[in-house]
Amino acid sequence: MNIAVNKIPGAAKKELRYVIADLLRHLILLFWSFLVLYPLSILVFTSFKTDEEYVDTSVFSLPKSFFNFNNYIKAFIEGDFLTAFKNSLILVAVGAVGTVVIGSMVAYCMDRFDFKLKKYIKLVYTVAYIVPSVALQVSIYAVMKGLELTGTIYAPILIYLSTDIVQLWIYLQFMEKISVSLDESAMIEGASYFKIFRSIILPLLAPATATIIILKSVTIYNDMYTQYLYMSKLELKTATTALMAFQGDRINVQNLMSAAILLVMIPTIAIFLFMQKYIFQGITTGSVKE
Amino acid sequence: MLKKITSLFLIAAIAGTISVGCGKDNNASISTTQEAAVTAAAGGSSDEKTNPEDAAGEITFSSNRTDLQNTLLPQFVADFNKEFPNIKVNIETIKDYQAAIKVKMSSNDLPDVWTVHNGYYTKDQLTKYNIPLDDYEFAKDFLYSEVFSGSDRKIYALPQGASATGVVYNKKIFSELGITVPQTLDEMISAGKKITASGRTGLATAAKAGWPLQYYWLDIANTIAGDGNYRNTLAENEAPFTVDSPMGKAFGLLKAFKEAGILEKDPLSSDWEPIKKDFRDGKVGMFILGPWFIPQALDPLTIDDVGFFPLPYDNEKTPKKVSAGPDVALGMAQNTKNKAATEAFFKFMMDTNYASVGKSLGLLTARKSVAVDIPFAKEFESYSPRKLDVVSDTKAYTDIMNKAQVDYNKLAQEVLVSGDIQKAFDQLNTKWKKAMGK
Amino acid sequence: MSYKTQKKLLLISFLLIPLLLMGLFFLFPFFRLFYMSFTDWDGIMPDYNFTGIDNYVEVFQTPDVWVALRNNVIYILNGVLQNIIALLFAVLLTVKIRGRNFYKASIFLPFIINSAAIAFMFTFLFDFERGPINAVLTSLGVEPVGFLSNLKIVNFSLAGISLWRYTGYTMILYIAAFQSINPEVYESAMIDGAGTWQNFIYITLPGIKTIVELNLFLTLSGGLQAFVEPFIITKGGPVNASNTFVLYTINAFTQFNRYGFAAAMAVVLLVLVLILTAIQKKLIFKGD
Repeated sequence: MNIAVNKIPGAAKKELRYVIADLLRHLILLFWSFLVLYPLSILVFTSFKTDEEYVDTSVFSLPKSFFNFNNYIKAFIEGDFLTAFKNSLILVAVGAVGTVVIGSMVAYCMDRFDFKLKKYIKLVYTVAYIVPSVALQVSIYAVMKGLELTGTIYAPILIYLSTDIVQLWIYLQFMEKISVSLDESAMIEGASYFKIFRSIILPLLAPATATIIILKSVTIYNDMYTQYLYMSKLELKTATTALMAFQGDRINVQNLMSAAILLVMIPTIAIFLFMQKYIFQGITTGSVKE
Repeated sequence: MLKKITSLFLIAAIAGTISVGCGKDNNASISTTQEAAVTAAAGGSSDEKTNPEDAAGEITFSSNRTDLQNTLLPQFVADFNKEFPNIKVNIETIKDYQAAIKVKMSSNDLPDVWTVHNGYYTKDQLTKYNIPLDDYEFAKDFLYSEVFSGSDRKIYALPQGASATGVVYNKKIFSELGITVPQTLDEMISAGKKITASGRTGLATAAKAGWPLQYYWLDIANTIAGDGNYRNTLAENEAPFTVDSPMGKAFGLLKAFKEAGILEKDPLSSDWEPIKKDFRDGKVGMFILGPWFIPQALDPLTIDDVGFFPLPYDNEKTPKKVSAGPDVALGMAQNTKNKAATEAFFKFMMDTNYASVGKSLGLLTARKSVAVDIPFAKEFESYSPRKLDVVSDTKAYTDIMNKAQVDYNKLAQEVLVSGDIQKAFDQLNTKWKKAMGK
Repeated sequence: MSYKTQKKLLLISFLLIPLLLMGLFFLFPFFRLFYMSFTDWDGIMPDYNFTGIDNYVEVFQTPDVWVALRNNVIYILNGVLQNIIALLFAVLLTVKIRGRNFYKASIFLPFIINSAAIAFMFTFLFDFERGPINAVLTSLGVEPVGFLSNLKIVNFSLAGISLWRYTGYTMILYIAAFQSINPEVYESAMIDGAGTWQNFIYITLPGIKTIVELNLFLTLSGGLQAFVEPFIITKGGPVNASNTFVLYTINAFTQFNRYGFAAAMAVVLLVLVLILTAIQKKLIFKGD
């Protein structure tokens, strides 16, 4: 904002408006953040309490020491979270990458080309989202059995890759905005469709890709039912099934459970913090620029 | 060209749908015939001792006890492996057990040895998917095996233990407040009131979880009727639910307990795990369920602090009837790929190690010749309860139940909400009549 | 290679695997479901009988189904609220503001938490006797509230959990959508003297039309599909107070062996959503 503007009378009133608006913005956001962070902070405090502290002190009180990692270590070892994290990592890595590849490819076809089946494909993806997957489990399991994939890590991966409308729509939203003239100028130079896809479209989809990676990773990581059904073997433990199994009889030992829950959350927070740089960079909307 | 390929693809998909849907019948019956052929060819192989060195491979053992995943279950397997070192047993514990098992059953993909809960599977299902156990010597020693019989009268699962429905109580609280074990309903209610007055919960229900209320309609109704077959007789009546029927009286008990104020402050908020913790911490006086609860109720309470007495459901001073029956059972799946290993493990759990498994799980014995050493069993017997054996649900009964989609636990919750048993029963009778096709 | 041939090649190679997956893991199961909705299949045994449209008739005649649907409406309304709040936050956050990353992260955080953990947290928070919320209320002299046992408010408590959990997700979608709008459009608008509000109505909203449509669709279908929170926390209780359409459907199969009936319910849900989405599209996007 030009400093010179301040010297003009009437601009003072405008600035006051901005200050109030700014304050209001912060208040709203702070309020919601408080709603989010307060329950979580209780969880954090509890996770650092020893068994005695947990019983004796009130739920709202701070733990004696924030360095009491005993609960975390205990949860990690007893819950066999090393195996769990490994398996979840595989699911997320393959699932997220696969989703990005498949989603962008399908979106490219749907946006840039016309072909007879286009409408039907869109319809099928839409319908696929509406029918709750739990209702289809019986038949999906039958297919997996037929392919001899039950009890393996491949079954959930295939399921995660098969129907997700959100990634398609996000890519479509972005692809619409990528001007066709870019494709056309590349075509004049004789580039193949594949080259256009790879060198022009994909890079421009970067923010969408980052968003999808975050959303899909979290969804896969936290998914329960599919992992239960196909990965209940001990070696195929995932973060979610391990947490559920760990819970067992310990559900009332809240200091231990809090530590376990936070332990499970760490990888997803890491992914989020890492990827958010890519989504949120750059463009601002509105008329205020600072 | 694309069009042709895609339409071919779609046709294949749809054709595949219908053929698999119909053809499933053929596939399933083929595998059954093959299994039968193998068993027949092997002769009485089920009676021969499996040679420890020969039996090898991997099998799956499934249970709903996620709380035992890292403790008792691996212990059982470790003990098993001392005798059979070449068999790898994969332990699978699933929280939403029924949902997962049904999906697997549907694709003929059950775990080799799996936990069978009474009342969740129809006789047809057990017959189709489990291995019959009649030819195993040790099977003849079991009580309550009829409960797990199939539509062909053969036995398809055997109970790991027996249970009876009664009142588990905290002896320390009783002696502190000078309460003696209630012999009549009035005494029960006054005991509850004393406990509640001392700032604790007189009688717990864990109503939020739903299933802990099952003892009212599952067992208490039968004992009030004096007939283990009572529930099955409901199938013969168009409108069997009345307030003064045994079922009505059973719910009436729940209502009476609520109105006497001896339940939790807000029973419908009371969930299973928190109430278990409260019991352990000495905040609960009594709880109506089976003795399987006692191992979970300890620490800091000791085994001497917990007792078990028959529920006094009326004011007669006669010995009380109690519903006795099987606890959970184990079965072997027909689709097993390694029958020898499966049999070895099954035998281990149900025969050689039966007593110690039962003891660790806190179950009364379900075998005539095997005694399980449980302290509170003695106390229970001292009240001379008249045991009414649990009878399995008939097909007629389950058909109507399923068609009408009757959830008794929700009914019990309804009683706690409104106290209007008649209204709840009226709705139930309408559903019941419709399901009977009348 | 001509572009015409290339096009065919590209379409096939790009679409083959996704469509195969779709076929195996959706189309086939779905047609099977649809087929079974006309039978009395129990979901397990190989035999079943054709019952025509009996299941469908029964769906409409079962009062508990309507009770469940009524509960779903609360989730839908909650979803609309969620969208408004998320859009507001997205707008507030695209402006450069101090602590912007902090806010983004904290609003999104609940989405990351595992369902089991959320159930655990809120069951504790809402606990009648031991929960912090009631602790605060009683210290203020107010009667404790049965968040999960009071028939009138249990759905709102559960919907509230959903709101807490997914607002960040919706917000992220809106923020991503904002990124897709070319800043030059705003610059030229500014040159023409447009204000913030006008920018929003005439540039931003139309610019993110696809995502708004998506979010409204997700809201509608999400509301009708509400299932996880009631399933884990209350099992639809007390009685049927927090039962939802999908929860009822699942129980029909797992508890009562009524696969055919459950299948019919799933198909009814599908048709319901399609109809409502079509209506929504006409009402909101008419003239576009």
